[in-house]
Amino acid sequence: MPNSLRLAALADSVAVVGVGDTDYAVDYQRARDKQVDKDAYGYAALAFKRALADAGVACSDIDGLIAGPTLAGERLGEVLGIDPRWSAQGDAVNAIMQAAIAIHSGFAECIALVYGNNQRSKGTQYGGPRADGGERYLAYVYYAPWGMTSQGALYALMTQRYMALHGLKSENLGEIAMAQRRFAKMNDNAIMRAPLTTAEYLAGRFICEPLRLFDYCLVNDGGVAMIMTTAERARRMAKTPVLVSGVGRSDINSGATSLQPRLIDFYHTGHRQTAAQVFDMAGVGPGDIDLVQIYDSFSVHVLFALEGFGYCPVGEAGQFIANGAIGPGGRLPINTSGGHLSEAYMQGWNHQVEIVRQLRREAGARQVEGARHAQYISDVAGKVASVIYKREGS
Amino acid sequence: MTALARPRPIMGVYEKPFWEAVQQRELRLQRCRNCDHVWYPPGPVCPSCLSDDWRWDRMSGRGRVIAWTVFHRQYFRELPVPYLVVSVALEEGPLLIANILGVEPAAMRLDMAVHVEFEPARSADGDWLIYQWAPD
Ligand SMILES: [Zn+2]
Repeated sequence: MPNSLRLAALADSVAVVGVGDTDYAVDYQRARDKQVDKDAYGYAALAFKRALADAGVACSDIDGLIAGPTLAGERLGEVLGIDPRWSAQGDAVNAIMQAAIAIHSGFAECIALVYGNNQRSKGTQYGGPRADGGERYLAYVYYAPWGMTSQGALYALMTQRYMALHGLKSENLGEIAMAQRRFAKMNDNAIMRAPLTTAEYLAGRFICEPLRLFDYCLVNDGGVAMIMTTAERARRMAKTPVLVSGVGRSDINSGATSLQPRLIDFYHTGHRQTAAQVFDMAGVGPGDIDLVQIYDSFSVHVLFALEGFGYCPVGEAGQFIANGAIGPGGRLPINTSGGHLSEAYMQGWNHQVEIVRQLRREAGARQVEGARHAQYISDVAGKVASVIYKREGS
Repeated sequence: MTALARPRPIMGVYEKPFWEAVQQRELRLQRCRNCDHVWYPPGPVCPSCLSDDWRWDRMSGRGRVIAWTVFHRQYFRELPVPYLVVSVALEEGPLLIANILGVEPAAMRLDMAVHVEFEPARSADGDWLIYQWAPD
């Protein structure tokens, strides 16, 4: 069981004070035109400089460094000229948790979390004989003799079973891609900004049926950086601090390669354990959350997360998302930058940036009015994690 | 039946006996002598009790459809699309992936009863047998 007393001491003690991202839409076109002028470290460096400027801190203030999973820590520090007294490596949500833990326990006071990825120009494969991630997740490569490969196919299996169990229809599933596209239309940095109708969604080709083109995330180049520090120091800085109010995590490994927790449970056991910790630590419930960002390499992540985190009963996510409920002006705005489907695929990093902008009320036309609490949820391969952020003073 | 070209399976220490049994037209999984647990994929110890006292137990080969997907994007040079991939829960518990023989996607149903069959396969290094599902 999580230790509530110890977790309570961590709650609201650490803040995000700076965010930076790169020019996703411009760089997407550059990659298509074969005019790329950066590698993963180039995108990371640009995002980092923008995050420093956003926070109003100097590079010499950084005493901790976390490199995203596609970067080597030493090379990143060399490129940025940072010799930290504490460092780590992690995906988006684990980077944030590690930073919060390190700052809270005094290992470092001002940590840069830096991600860069040139997956489009480099031609990273997410399925087939050279599938990325196969060395960490056996299911990505184990079933090659039957042509079974890619994270997308695994989510297609889950979706097919969900449809058979709960009667979800394709046009209903399309609500997710369409809602996120409506947000992306209000985000100048989003890659996919053209309107998406139900007919266009349904006309999208199948990749792994029942998932279609618009259920799949983009693959693009870019970088993201965040600056985190103590809540006390954050309060002396120019912008409104965004506090890490709760964190939760639950790794589902048993039966992972045979796909039991995916197909039988939709990872709900991990969702429920994570939800219990994150909501308890933040002292809020689903009803207090103003907007949610969900790791969406595929649209259906949204359905499973909504059910597992208690936003609706199991089997009812299709009704929950109907009629624009998760889009602009809806009852629960989800992936308000356009997410991985329409803004950019930055492996969960861009979702954190969007939360910070929303809670600072800097999100322009897509601003969720009066946003005070925002939740991030990811469940990549059953490694479920969630962070609840709070606008300082809420 | 003509052998279809297919990517070779991963062949670690624990996969080898599994695939040797398949070549004998038998589906065998490890069963724990200590707690009777059956698991997949093959591994060094029983994930339920950590015992390394297990045997290669012959499975019934019967199961029920849990989920399926139709590949429309081609990921492997050897395998033309479209094709069906089906997850089946064996009577003994574990979920196994294979293709399904003689079933159109529109005819797929949850909990459909299937059994294992063995199909010729071909790779650069020779011919072999792969296991597949077939409807009862
Ligand atoms: Zn055992």
